[in-house]
Amino acid sequence: MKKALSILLVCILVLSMLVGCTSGGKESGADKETSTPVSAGDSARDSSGDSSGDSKVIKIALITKMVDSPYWQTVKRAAEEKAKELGNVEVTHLGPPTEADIDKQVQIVEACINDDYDGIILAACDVDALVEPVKKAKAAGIPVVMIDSGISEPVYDAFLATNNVQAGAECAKLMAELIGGKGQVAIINFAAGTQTAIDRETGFTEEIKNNYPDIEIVGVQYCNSDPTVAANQATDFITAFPDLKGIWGANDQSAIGVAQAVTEQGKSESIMVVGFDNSDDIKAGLKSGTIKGTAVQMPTLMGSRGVEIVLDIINGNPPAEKDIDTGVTMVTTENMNDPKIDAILNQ
Amino acid sequence: MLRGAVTSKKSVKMGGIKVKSDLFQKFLAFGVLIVLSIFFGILTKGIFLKVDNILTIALHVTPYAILGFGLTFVLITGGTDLSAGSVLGFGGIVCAKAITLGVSIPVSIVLGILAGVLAGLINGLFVTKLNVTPFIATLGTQFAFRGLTQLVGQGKPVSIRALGDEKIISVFQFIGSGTIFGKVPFPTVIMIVTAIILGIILSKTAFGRRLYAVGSNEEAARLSGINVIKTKLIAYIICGATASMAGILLAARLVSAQSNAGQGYELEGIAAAVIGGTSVMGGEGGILGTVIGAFVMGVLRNGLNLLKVDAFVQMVIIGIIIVLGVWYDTARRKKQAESV
Repeated sequence: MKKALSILLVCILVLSMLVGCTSGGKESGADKETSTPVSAGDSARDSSGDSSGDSKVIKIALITKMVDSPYWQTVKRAAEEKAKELGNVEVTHLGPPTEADIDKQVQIVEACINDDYDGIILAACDVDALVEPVKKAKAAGIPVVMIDSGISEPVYDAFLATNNVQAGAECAKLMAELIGGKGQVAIINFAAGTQTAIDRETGFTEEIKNNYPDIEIVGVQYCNSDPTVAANQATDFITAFPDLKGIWGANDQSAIGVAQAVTEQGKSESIMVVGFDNSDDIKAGLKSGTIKGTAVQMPTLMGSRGVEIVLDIINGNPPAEKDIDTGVTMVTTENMNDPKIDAILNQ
Repeated sequence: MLRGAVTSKKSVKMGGIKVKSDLFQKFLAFGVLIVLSIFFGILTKGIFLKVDNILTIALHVTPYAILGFGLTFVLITGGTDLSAGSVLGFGGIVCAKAITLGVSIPVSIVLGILAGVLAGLINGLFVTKLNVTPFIATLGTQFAFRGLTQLVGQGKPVSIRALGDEKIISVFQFIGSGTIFGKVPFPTVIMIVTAIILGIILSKTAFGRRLYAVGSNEEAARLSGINVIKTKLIAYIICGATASMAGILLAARLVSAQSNAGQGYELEGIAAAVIGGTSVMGGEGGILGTVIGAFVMGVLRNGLNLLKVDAFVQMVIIGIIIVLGVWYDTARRKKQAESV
């Protein structure tokens, strides 16, 4: 009896895992259909053949935190497009199966050093673990450009990422514009003590303090990236401050929660919601007008500028500044139909 | 020895003393709730006591309360379920995924709850058949169910809004944040109905009595012919079902299921139950107490927010309240044991 039940238990566990895996498998399968892995690399090679073939093909390894996510696929697409445009460049996209596979990423970087790559573009899975591999690559004379997520020692050649202080300030500017330069605003930040969150909050509050004396920040709450908690906190802000003019959600989940609270309270006309990032829910909020604007990061720029900078370094023109801000684009209900902005929103 | 003494008293006088002490605990928690409400009412110059704000609090505590109901069942058996928050996320995302795949909303909700039932069954089998300590078993499944949730969502939210089907969006949104009878949030009505059903099961049925007996003294319960394994198994299944219910309501409120939904909520649910008089040692507790406990937490959060208390100070205050609740429970039990 006991044995039978334990067998049943194991069966259920395996079954539930299979269910999880198959639904996962379907998703990633769909991803692969829409993107065309490796083929862009081939086409880059083709076009290099066309362009008189004056020099050898420059091989760049694009190593991201994982391969199969829309975000990294966007980076890869941008890098491949840039490679195609330049002609004599070939980009190969590599990465561990998940962001947690730090040791696998280390192995990939080391394999690339031994292979005949001319440059590496890397988004580090871990700030410390990737320091040594980057040092090794540099020692082997391979330029390394970091994107999105850096490492704890500045041994790389360049680091392309969103400057979150600047991004927070951009959100503050948009908020100020939306509420006409005066009134009360509240902040729902996504975490206390995380550098990204601290930077965004600092950027926002400093911008308001320095340039908008008539705007008062009435409070900051931390929702731990839980939109339900964000919605509850935003509702309490709305109750406590009947004249509240705007709420800023400092990441995707915070903004979704804030938009929900404003909708529930019937205040989507009077309270301006500014968000961050461009998830499906944020896009839906922009379309319905509950979210008035959002700061969109530029993974495409990380891909294309990454390729350019690797080439610059190979040609002896390293960038003047190691840390390069790829910036954010403020997408608003006003400008979202502009094809250029639409492309950024849906990148 | 002490535990034996308490139990024998309880099994002899099922009605008398136990009910009295339960009532007292509920009365105390309710008293705290009233005092807090008056306190916040005065300090916020009445804003706190406005009907709209009270209903807001009711909507906010609903998921914690529903999660707390199932946890109350498990806690009464002397167990615990640390995976409840993950099961919440799992139920919500299974339901949302089904909707995005074209399954009708009612069937999707049933699928979501079934996911929770299955999760509860797995927890229960680990605890009863494989004899793993509930704390460890459900700590393990906490990771496993969170992993499954992330797998279903591929680490991203499953957005119903992104479907763009206005009818589905409006129906789902109503389930999560719509109002009936004027301004009463629909999820809160669901919470009240669930509370009544589970409250009756707990206090009026043979199964309810067996649950208390198992939690008071498992050995004695076994010897008196109670099927301990079955009783515990059902408690874990109920916990899984209520957790997934809470998850579906949360997903419906946002019209999007988050793959990290419910992280840490199990502790909110346990806190609500304990503040409401459910003992972490098993054998005692009730649904009404958990409702009151959830409201104590909700009122504290809302009141402190309205008073513009710093976010970090709030965490300290809520932490202290939870410790006080557990300390009171322990002290009272000790006193009760000594008085026998």
